[in-house]
Amino acid sequence: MWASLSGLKRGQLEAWLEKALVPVEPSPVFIRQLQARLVTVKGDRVISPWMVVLVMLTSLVLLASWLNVATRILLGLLSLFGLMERSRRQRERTR
Amino acid sequence: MSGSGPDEMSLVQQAASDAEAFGELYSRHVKRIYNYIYYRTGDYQDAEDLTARVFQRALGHVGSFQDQGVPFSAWLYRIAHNLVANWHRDRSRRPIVPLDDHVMESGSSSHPESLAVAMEENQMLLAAVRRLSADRQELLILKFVERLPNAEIGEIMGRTEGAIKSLYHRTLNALREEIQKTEQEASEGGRA
Repeated sequence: MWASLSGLKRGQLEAWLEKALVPVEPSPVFIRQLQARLVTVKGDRVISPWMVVLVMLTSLVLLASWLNVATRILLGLLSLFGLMERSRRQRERTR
Repeated sequence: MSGSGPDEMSLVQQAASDAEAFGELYSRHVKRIYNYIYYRTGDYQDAEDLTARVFQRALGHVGSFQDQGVPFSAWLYRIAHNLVANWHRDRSRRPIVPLDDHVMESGSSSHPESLAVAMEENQMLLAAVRRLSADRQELLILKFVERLPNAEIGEIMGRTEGAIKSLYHRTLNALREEIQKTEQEASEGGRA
């Protein structure tokens, strides 16, 4: 069998290549699933401007909330310290 | 047609920020990339896996693609070429020649024995093709599977048309030598 191929002239070899190297159809399911993955999942550099705006706004809101909470905690601690100090002075006056 | 016209270049630029545009590029090129990888690896499952990786990588880097007169398909083929090279290096195995997803139907007898012989010859020929260097395999795939003219093949491979013709001539000679080697190995194996 191989003797027929190794002794081939150029034209015959090309004819065999034309028969052997033919387009192959990939699985339609694979094609569709891969396209769905690629279109749904953005690449590293495919970032929507609206996404950037949303992230910044969210960050600002979170920062404001955190500052609000932190300020309240600080005021609470100061109030507690003030109460403790006033209580100590009252005890000293009554002695 | 693999050349990137103005339409495709504008699509490539949009694809950097528009997933739908990338989806259109994907639709245009997925089958040719799949075919290239299939014939380089010999296995449809590996071809699917590597094709997916080609387009995932392309999606991540499409923003950096610059129009330097090279078709977009050439960029995809380069990614595919590199991934297949890594695949061969990592696997370090002989190429698998599957019993087939595609069967040579045209020009063959409907007789089962003739068909079986033809299929076996095809697979042996494909195995010989896969023992060629990567550039020579790429040339044969673009020429026979994609039916591209030498000028377009040259654009994709970054060579002149004359260089492609010369490479083709050397490729056929190398293929004939590979076939002769296989014939000798087969006859020595039969004697053993």
